[in-house]
Amino acid sequence: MGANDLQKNASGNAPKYKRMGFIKTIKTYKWLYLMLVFPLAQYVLFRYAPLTGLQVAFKEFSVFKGISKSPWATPIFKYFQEVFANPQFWNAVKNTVKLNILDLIFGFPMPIILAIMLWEMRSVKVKKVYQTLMYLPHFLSWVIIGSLVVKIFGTNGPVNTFLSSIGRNPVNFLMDSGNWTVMYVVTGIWQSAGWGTIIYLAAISGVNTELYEAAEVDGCGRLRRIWYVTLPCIMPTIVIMLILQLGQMVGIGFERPYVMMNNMVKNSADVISTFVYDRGILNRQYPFATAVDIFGSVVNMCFVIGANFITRRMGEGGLF
Amino acid sequence: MSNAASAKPRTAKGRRYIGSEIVFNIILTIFVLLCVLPVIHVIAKSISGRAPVVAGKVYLLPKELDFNAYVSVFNDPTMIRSMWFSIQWTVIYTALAMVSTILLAYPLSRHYLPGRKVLMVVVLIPMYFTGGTIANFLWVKQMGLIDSPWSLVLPILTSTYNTIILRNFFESVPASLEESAKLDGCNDLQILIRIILPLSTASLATIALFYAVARWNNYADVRYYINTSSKFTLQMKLYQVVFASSSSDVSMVEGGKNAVLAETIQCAAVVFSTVPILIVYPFLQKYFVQGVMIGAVKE
Repeated sequence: MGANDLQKNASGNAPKYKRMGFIKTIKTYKWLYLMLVFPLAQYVLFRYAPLTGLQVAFKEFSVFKGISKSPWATPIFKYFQEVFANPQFWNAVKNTVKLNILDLIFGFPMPIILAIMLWEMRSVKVKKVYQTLMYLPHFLSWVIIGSLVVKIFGTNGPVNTFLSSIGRNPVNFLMDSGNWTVMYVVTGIWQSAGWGTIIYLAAISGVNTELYEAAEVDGCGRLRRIWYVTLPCIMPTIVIMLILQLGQMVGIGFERPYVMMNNMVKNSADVISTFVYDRGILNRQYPFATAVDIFGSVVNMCFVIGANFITRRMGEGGLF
Repeated sequence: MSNAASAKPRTAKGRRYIGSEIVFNIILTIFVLLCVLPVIHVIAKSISGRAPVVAGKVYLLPKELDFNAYVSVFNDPTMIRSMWFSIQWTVIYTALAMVSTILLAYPLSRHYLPGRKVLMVVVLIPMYFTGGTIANFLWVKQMGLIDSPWSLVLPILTSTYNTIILRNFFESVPASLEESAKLDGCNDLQILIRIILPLSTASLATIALFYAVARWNNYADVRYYINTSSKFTLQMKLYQVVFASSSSDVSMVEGGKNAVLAETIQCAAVVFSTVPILIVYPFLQKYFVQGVMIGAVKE
């Protein structure tokens, strides 16, 4: 390629490559295309190729025959009918939605509240220390977090010994389904509320300080200033985060419910991901579990696209 | 008048808002304590004697200092093996993932590259539609990777999210550097290695840490794909120690059937698995915050 091409690119004109022939294009950019070989091979092999496995949901899958040689199920939606007729499936869907709604109600506002309070702190040093300590739980794996929960709220844990030392009855925090749900939500807040402040702190730091001064001149106290200046100013960020979270309503990662679950609360702790694991990987009901997976994926995609549509309509530019 | 007003605010403000200041500080302090105390409690239990732990007397300070639990953990070959296995595969994964991410992000960051838009779509689709647990599992199985450590590496090699972060960064490197290197006769690979990468060390460190922590903490895929205990990562091993300590496949300590001994040992195992994260945490914290901010900037 000559210096001419470079200049065209450099001046930021509309791409001129369309005038180049295919061979010339490849030659000109051969290094860039060569770089792509390794990552794209990974995408094709491990992102796109596994999609072929989705047909298992429509087949009488046999491990010996393999995916392509297994016969089609009759009727073709046989396993979807089985899934939709399965009460445990609906129980998992119900739990997934329930836990997500609870996370939304109790978990979502926490980082906003914490971020505002952090922002109002005067001592920069203390603030730094607090932030460092608040972010810590985000870096612990769910297995470690689950272990901490068991050690602290288990029957021999300090909470229960404390309760009995003041003459109260021990509480079964993890074996009773109502208490378990509370623990699940609280643990989620514990893990992510501190980390979640980052994005809101960034938003608050972008607020024009003149607005604060104006509020001060108008005689606003701190709480009123937060309510009338800070909150409205970070509202766009709050809305985006809210919609992102709404987009995940049907999905719950596998690890958090799995490590916290035990046999006593299985009924109220079983979510779609753990249900799929149990049916598919443990019990090898591949077509059934794949059908559940497809259901989850499709509903999830609808939510994500819907969420994106809403942000676009609100003038936030959409997320993708 | 204006002089007096500008001199005053700090102190006046301070006195006026002292009430809310105190309330905010109390709430934040409680939250911060709640974040840290569970970890301290487990550490205290892990270095306490058996008796006070049975009696439930250990809250935040160790009683009857006793390091035998750690002796047991370090004497347990399976624990050390899992730690080593985790470190080894976290390093392998992070290295390969970085290579793959760089090789993908750089061409994506070149606006003039024909086919870039198509490529972007190819990369983005799997972010929104995935095969799900079972399809991935069957594929890994078909590839013969079940029970191979590579099943923990290959399927998650390139994170689209990290790729986009890195691409955004590469885009911000001034184009003039690339142009002058081209005039000097460098090809794109040389430009990437000699010019772009040395300028991006902070971003690269951020992303490497994203990958390393993700791999280190990941538990689900080990659960799905790995069956042999010699290939258990530390998270998997810890899960067995803490949650399945009654089952027979746990070989913590011979003669360790005593439930209370197991309690201190379990706590020691938790601390043992947390320490690597605590060691890198000071570095992590700085870089991760940067990373979140880079990622928050819309493409």
